[in-house]
Amino acid sequence: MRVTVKLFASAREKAQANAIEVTVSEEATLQDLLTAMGETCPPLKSLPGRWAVNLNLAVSNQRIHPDDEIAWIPPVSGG
Amino acid sequence: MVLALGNEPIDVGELIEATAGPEDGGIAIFLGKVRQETNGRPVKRLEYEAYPSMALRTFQKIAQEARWRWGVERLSIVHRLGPLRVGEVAVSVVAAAPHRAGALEACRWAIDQIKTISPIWKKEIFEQGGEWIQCTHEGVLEAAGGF
Repeated sequence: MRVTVKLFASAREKAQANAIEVTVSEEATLQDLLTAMGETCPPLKSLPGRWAVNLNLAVSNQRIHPDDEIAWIPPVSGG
Repeated sequence: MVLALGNEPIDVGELIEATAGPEDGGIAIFLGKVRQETNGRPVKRLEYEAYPSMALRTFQKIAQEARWRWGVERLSIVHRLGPLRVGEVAVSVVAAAPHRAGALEACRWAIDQIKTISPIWKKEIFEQGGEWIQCTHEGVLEAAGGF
């Protein structure tokens, strides 16, 4: 399935896009997505950060569903 | 109470008015301002970016937790986005409670939480270029994920 990953801050700058499309299998987890994202967009490989799914932080063994809203969250620095 | 992100300067007086009710005896206010330097390096400006829908969700969680931990019924958070000059207010927290102890503790806790769990980022622009500021992710974000 094709998944859209929203990008922010340093990740957005490295990818030069505020979102990228990544292809993963139907049974993919966020860990799989991380690997696929790094292959699709090498500047994003090995960057520190966390996954957010449907506006909540998520764990890497979580399965992805086609209508999930997925974002890559670099280390935050608000406030 | 107000939970918001925006590009306009924050009107702190208006925010206090919008937060405190007649039952509130203590109102605690925190303002986070842009400092003129970081680690000895002069700052030209900061640029703030957010994942807006998720950031607002974290503000709601913070306000909700302040309610049951300290009985603070009204907690406002406003965070500015975009470019900010030295001296401008980037974030404002107003906590209103019947008594001062709850307001003060909730206000302090809330700004610490914003800086830990909210998907907001700042880029420091200095003479030679720009750099995204990173704060540690470890441990605390795990806790936020389960909230």
